[in-house]
Amino acid sequence: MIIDLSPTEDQAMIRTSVADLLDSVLPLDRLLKDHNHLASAELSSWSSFADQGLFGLAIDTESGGTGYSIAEQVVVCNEFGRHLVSPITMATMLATQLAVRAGLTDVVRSLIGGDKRAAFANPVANIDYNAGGTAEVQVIDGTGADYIILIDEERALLFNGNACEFLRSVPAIDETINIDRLGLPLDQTLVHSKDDLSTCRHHTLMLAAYLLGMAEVTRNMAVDYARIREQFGQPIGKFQAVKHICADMAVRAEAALAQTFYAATLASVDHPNGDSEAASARLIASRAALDNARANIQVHGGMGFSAECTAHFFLKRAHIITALNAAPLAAQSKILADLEPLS
Amino acid sequence: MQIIQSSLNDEFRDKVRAWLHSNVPKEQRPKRGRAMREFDTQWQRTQFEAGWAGLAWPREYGGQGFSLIQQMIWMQEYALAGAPAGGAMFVATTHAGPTLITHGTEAQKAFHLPKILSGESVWCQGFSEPGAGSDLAGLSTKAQIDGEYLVINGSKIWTSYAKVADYQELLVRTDPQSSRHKGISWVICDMHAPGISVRPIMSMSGLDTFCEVFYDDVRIPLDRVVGELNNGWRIAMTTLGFERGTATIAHQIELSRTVDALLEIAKKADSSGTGETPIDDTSVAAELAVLRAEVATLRSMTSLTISRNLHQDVPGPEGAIVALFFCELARRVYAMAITLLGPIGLERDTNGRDWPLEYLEAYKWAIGGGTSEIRRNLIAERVLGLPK
Repeated sequence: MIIDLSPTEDQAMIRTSVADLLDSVLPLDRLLKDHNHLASAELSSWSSFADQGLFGLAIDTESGGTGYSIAEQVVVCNEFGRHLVSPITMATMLATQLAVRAGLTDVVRSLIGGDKRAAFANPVANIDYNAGGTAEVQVIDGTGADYIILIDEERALLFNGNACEFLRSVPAIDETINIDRLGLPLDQTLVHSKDDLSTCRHHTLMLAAYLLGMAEVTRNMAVDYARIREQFGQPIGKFQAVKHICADMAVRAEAALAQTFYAATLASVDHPNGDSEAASARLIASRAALDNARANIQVHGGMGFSAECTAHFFLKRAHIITALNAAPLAAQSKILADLEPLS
Repeated sequence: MQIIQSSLNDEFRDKVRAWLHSNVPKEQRPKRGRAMREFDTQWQRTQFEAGWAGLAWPREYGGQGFSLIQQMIWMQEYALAGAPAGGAMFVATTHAGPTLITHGTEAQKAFHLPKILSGESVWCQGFSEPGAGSDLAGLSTKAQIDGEYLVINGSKIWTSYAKVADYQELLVRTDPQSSRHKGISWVICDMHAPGISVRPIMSMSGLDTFCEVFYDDVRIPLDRVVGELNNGWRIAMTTLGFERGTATIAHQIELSRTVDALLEIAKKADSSGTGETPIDDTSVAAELAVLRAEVATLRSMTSLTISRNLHQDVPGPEGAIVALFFCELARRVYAMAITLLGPIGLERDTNGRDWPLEYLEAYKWAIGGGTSEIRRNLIAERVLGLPK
């Protein structure tokens, strides 16, 4: 199989238009000002996202979507990561996908049109789906969400937001994210899709792309700072000790980029190795996002430790995204599964 | 990102696969001496006679002029077929040949290129010196001009296959007043010339393909200079730019197969009779999963480099990133092998595979052809633009 990982014309165009929009409505320094309470900045631009067709990007045109594939969706999520956009955007994309599969045309229309939104549920303990009852979860920026989406390794569930029981709000490691504890009524799902590997795969790849975006931005931040910050009469980027930190950041970002895009290309044609490759992408991208966030703080020194610089947000967000619906053992067995030879 | 579908590529792959299937040597490659040279040159000749030599070389010089995608397909199938690495022919076909094509005189090309393609001549590389390793520009082997000759004195080191080579791409200092990158010349050295002596160096893995080469008043005709006199640094550097991303394919496939082999080993019950397998240990499973994800990533990074080169004429400096990722990963994969194998990992040639040799050999990648530290400098300065 021969794969060209360079962006197609459409992919380049999508990236540029999404990046331009996010640069203007969600610049990173917004996080220094008001801590983005309840994803307020995202919500006030929600209709612009809908106008760009972001919530139905990988939905076919008959269902009201834009008709692209997971490859283009990954490009958009990559930009979300670069701008630390609230995960409600990705949750809404996936909710749309689930609603299409279940034939819920009204739900699809309201999500694609930007009238409704979804948020991710993150289980706090293993869920026994057969037992029914209520499952306690965290939801990420989910206050006021119309739908709650829960994705594990092989199933995807969609709930009506108002059918869920609000338990309490909890302060989060990332002050730019709100976490609520909710009780999900397991016998009142709007959609309960079992063996829904393609939604799970897309979820995995979208998070990988988001983490990749974070690894890229932290690499750039560290390099830019190392070029201008002077100590001992020279830019700190002249010292090998700092150079090598930056070089390792570049290696990790490049690794995450290559594997995420490769896996997304395979997923776009439903290749049988898609699950394994996607799980590998999330693993590599998670490590890249976390390690680069840490390295970026280190290169920024005292500034990196202060809350006046955006470096710390990347570390905190990397923890949120790597822990979101993470199932390390299931991911491991996907990575270790027998694979088809690729050529 | 998209899949490139082409029936022409598929046909080409089928053709390559079929030819390799019936022509890849079945016998083990001898590890040293004339027998090793004979094996490597014979394999080159076999490829040459079937029209598979000089894949990336232009057709006017006897090459195949294959597209980058065809080269990639060849390299993939080559590795999958278990075909032997270039060995003693490696420097000639991937380095000396391309350098002569770009910078050589017509006479140099006419004499050497056919001999390289047909496996008639073996080349080695005389770049590093005892005092010039990572700092190659610090080389001090002298070449004094004496009439129509250069007279060489000095020594080179880490010269693979010097013992069996016919020619050497030799970097020497032709301007005694010069320093660093200036005043260096790239010369074709006849390894059979009087005054050359070769001392094999035993490596930590027990192979002695490395050599130290001594030059004692070795006389080389001036017409053996490639490019102009004192212009050798530029010539050495341009050759390094020929690599368009396909070089890591063989390594990547080999590493991927090694990880799969480790996975098989980890799934087999040990001899204790408890029925437990190493992979039941969650830390073993976790480590293997990381390695598998990383070899998949190496494959993707290779694909990314080649993808970029499909759209640009000159390869960018990002190649250093893949090289660094590979050499660090190779060391980890073989270290895992030795740990996983336990006592068996301490024995050579048990289990049908010389694991200690492979493990010890893996240390060379982070040193030869640029240490990991030099590669990090390169990435920081050339890719990221940090100050020198």
